Amino acid sequence: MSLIEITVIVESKDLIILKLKGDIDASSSIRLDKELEAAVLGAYNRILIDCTHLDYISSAGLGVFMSYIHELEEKKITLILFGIAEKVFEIFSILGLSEIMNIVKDKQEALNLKYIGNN
Amino acid sequence: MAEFNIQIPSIIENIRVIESFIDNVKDKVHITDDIYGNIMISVTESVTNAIKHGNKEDSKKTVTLNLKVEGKNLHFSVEDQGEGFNHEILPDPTAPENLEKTSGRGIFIIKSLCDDVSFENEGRKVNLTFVTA
Repeated sequence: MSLIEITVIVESKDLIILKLKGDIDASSSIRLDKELEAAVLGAYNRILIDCTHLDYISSAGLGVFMSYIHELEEKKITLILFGIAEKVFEIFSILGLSEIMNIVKDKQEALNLKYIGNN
Repeated sequence: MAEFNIQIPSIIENIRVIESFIDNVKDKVHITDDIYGNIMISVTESVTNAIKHGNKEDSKKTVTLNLKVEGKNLHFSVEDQGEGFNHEILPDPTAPENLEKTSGRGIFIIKSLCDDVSFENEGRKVNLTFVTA
């Protein structure tokens, strides 16, 4: 059973979007890891994470994102999160991750970003 | 004073049972959405730690969650059957050398969201207090 729904949208050969809906707890973070791994292996320049319908993220979920930072940097892939609710953003903030991850307001702002690295 | 108890085998999927437990608490005890959110995050982080790092996902070992309601204070405790740990020497997850690690953030989050956090029984038991008003 997973309380997270992940929809994968390949927008172009350079851009993939993962739409998250629900909760990323310790159990469902395994699913996020698999989808993110596939996206990283897919050789896209940009991976956008649509958090508009993300209700909750645990430290295990954050751990998934952070575990790819080095690989993303090496492969020159930009990971951008957008549409994060205030309550969810607070968790990124507590851990200082809001400073080192690319977090923007909406999809348009995310699409306007070219390669800028991940920290 | 009201008291609630739940005991689960150490399987990570059982985190759902804990989430339901906290949902039920919200129906019984008046708490604001903000505090409910902090409780949900902190208690599930504590139980996740107990399952993964305490009991090392051994399904024969259990995690016990207890809640005592004393006036405006909610006292949660989460206890595992593992080897314990020294909570005083935890690495800072915000330090540059720890940023890429997949774990080590749970307790940091818990300490930020609870009104009080303490450890007992060589780290096997964590006590979380929330003041509801």
